[in-house]
Amino acid sequence: MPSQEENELYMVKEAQRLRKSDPCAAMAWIITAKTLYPNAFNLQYEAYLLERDAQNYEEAAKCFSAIATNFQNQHTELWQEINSLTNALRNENETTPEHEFYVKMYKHLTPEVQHNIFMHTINHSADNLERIYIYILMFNKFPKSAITQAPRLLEMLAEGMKTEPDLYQRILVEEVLPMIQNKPPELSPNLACRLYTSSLEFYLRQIMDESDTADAWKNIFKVLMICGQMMGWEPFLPFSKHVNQNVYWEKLVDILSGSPAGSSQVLFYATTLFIYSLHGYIRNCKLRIEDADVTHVLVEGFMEWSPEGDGSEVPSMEPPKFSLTTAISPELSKAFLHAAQCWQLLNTDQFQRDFSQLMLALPLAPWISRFLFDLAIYFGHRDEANKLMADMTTQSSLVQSLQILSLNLMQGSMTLQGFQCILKILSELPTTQGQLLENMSLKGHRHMVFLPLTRSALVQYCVGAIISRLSRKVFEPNVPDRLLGDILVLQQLNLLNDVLLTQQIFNLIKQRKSFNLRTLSTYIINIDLLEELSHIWNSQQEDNFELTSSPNSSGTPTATTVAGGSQSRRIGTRGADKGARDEFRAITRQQIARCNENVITLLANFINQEHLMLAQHIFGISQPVETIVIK
Amino acid sequence: MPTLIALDASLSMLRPVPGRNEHTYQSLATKGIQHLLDNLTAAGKLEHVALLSYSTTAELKVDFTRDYDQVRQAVKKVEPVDKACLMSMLKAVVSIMSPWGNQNILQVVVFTDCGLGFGNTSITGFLEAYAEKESEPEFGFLKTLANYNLNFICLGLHGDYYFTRGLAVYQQLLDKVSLKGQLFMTKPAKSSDAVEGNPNPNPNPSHKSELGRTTVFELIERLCEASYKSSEVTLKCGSYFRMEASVLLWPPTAPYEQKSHIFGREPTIRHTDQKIEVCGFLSLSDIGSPATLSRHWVLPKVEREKSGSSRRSGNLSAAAKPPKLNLDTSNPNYELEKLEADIKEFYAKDSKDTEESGDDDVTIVLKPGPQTEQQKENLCVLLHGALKMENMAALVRVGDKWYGFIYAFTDSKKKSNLMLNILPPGTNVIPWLGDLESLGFPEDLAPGETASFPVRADRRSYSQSSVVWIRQASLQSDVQKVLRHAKKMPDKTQHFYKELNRIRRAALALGFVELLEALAMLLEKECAHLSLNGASNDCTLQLQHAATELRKTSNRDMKSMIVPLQKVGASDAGSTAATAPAPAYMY
Repeated sequence: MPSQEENELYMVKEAQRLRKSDPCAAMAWIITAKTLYPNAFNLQYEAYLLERDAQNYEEAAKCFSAIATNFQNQHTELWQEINSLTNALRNENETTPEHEFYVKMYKHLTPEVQHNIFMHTINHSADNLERIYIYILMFNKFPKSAITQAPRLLEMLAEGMKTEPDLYQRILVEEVLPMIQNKPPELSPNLACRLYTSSLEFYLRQIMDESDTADAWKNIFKVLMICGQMMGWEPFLPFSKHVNQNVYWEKLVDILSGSPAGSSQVLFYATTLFIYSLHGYIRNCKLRIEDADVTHVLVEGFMEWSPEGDGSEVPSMEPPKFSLTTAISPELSKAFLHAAQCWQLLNTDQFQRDFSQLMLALPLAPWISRFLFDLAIYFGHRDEANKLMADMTTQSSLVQSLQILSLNLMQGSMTLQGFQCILKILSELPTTQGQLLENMSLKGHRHMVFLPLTRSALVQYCVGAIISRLSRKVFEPNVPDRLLGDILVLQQLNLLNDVLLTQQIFNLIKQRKSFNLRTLSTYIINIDLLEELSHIWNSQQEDNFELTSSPNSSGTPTATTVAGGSQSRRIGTRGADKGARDEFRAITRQQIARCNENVITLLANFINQEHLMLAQHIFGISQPVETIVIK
Repeated sequence: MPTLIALDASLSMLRPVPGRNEHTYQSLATKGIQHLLDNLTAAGKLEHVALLSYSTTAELKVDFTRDYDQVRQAVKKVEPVDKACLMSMLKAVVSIMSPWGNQNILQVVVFTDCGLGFGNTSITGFLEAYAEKESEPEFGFLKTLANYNLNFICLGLHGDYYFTRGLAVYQQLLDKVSLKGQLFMTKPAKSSDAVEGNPNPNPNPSHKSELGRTTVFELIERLCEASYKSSEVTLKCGSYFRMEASVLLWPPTAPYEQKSHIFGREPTIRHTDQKIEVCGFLSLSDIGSPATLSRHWVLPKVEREKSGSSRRSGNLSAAAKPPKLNLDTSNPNYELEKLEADIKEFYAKDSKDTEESGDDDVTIVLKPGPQTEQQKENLCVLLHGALKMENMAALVRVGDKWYGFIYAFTDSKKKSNLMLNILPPGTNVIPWLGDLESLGFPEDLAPGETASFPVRADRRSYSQSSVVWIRQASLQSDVQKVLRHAKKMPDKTQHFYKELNRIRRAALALGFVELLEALAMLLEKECAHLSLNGASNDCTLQLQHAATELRKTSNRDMKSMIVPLQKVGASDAGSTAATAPAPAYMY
């Protein structure tokens, strides 16, 4: 008698022979064989193939269920088929006939078989990424399995991030976290923290790419909530674009007061809040003005100086205020102060070490360096600011010059370097015109200004810096005429803000009964100044009021007479010198015709062309410095 | 109604208008003033206009006049000086306007680019000083200024910070000092670059329509619409429908604030009616010079033609054919219409013999053609002719128990027009006429009753015209007349003493005794002055005599008379003069 195996093979071969030409006959052979040998794998598999080829997914499901149940961990053919099935399930959107068959067949499998398929696939896969995908597939089909299997999946993700962070972070954020957010599993603290950090990193890269940031922050806060639930933390507030940051801060303080020292929950909440504020600060530093992106730079504002207050200046220990110079100033200052608040909290002893490690893991270096520099100048830590400036290599030359100038103003004196920065700034002015700023000077209190990088604001700041160095000289004895004229030119931008200074200059002109005409005919176009000078001229008809036009005259009236004796022409009001009167009128009329010129450009040109004289005014060098070199 | 035009003569007015270099703010202001004068001319040159230019100080270029060409010429010669000082100008305005009193509506039109000035002379400086000491006498002129209508024609671009900051402070000035003022400005051009509230050192290249000749003219039109519009009423004379016409009153009638008799109650605001009805006619001598609320020209209403068209042709085109008269005996106005037809027939016959009178602009000119018909149909012409010829005034009702007089008035230019004087509300407002509602006709007198008013004015001499000192100028004029006669003595000695006694009696009648002392002082000063100039002794002696007589108590009697110094004194002076040359001859 032939053996049982030979009989099985014979029947299988007969069925295979007839599969193409006569499927019914082939099925007859299989049915007969199955009746005789119910436990033969080959026969069961062949029956499945026949149903599969005939596109009978219901019958195929029955055959497949029987095979899967009775022949676990056997036979290569079965694994191949399972792989085809799982591939089809992962790509349900594809519409090939083969995929359609597998999807339909799968639906007719019993749930137990369905679940076992996933488990077997996971256990036999050598590829970590493959297993993660199967897990995701299983969780989608069997949400309840997430409760027990999620920790293992999350560990796989954490492991995968060591090699391919981008890929695994995306899977975590976009696929896994949404699935477990309703019932987060309990995890070890380390794992939860690592997952949160990875999510934060993913979204921060998204934010830094300047895509839509509102969704990113909403997701960050959601991830924070999920991790909080995993860790058993007190829930934080959900994200809303319209919630004032003070609300978040108060919530944080409330949680802080009820937490043990160095609590992870406080660390993560504060870090999130810090980064949120920091982002608001960095983002608002760029604003569209006149169809161009304009950066705002935090600089030192000007303090008003008055002769009565001389000697009574005591540096205030209060932190400086922020001036409302532009429409964006309130938002910028709020974001900055909130970030500073969180930063100070996170740098206390209980959080500093963990926070530092956390910052190293996040791609925030450019933001942090910018923020730390601004924080240093905010608190007046000049040395620290100088140290930090060396690390900021991403700043443009214009911004660097501006910040050096600001540091000069902070220390209350102008160095040669600061003056050179003024010249450098004026040589690199942007094309955006912008507007003049208000509230650039405050009395008796240190204050900060967010300066937009526009032509108007930059020139205004440079002019203000020079005037702040020169203004007190006007109240000293024996002020040179040239200095008075130069300050008048610069005051054309600042006339309404410092009436006292301009009035003092006019008083000196009246007392001296002389004024140098050189700057008048070249640089003074402001109508208020021209009117006042004309008024002085007209009201001094009875006295010997002199106007000189010597380009070299820069001393007292006596010096004027001596130095410019051979070169200057005097225009006096004594007697009936009609020609002289007409000349002054002609000059005045000529300047009035120029009153619509751009004052910003005029003053920038003035500083550039007269920078030697201005340096002499500021640094008190008796002779012009011919060897000043611009770096 | 006076209008003072103030032109900003600061240097800022010489600035070229951005984007339109052919214009400066001053050239636009000049065109604006010309256009304002054009509008006033089209309205009939009823306005007295003065021109004031101001910078640090204010200078009156043209005093009040209705010769607008003077103002036109003066505007072209205004030269900017240095900086504008608005408060100095407003003080000068109060001083210049003071002769007009408070009865008139006082208009001030300021053409400026809203420069603020600098330092303590600026408007900002004034507001800072005013904020702490509002009740100082230094700011007393502001109370008078509050009666004026201040109209600011603001010349500037809304993208120009110099202008916009000035606008804000000007409005602040009007608000804080409680002045009646209005800022006329152009509408800002729509520009996405303009950021409101931020100073812009580089004004945007201006859209052409924001500020230019056309827009300035629009500002003037708005000003005229707000402040220079006549009142239109219907003038009615009797029940005959053709004795009724629309007329314009200039200046427009102002609402009258009538105080209530009940303590603490709000005063009642009264307006004149839309219809003015003639109630009767009185002799001008009977009316005299009663106190009035306001005076108005009465002009026939003629549709205003486009500029360039003559007023005359406008009248012709507006003339409507008179309706044909059908003599229907059943018509209640039959007799009146028959009379009118007879008059027309009479005038048609004698048209050749008619002479045209050159004295009056509105004299009836009897010429054939539509023009004759138009002028004959005008009620104003008829009324004016009748009142002028008869030396009478028409009593008109302008409201409930509110009356006025219409009469023919000739001003200094020898032009004659109808004038309406509005009396205070009430029926017993002229004491010497009694209750106006009790007036009647002489024919209604009962037999034996004499026609008379409660106070009868005896006129013994035709040369003795009554002295009226309602205005300060009248008193000043009479005093000047006496002084002029004083200088011409001894030729005018009789005239001098005649005028002196006339003023003396008027002063005594009014109880104005201080005037006599002042007059005596003036005569003494004049005597000293004339002595230095070598006037005749006769003149100085007479002046001294008159001054002495004015101070005597016995001359405080109405019936006494100051007589010239006797001739004996003159003879003595003559003999003294004859003696003087003799010693010189002997040498």
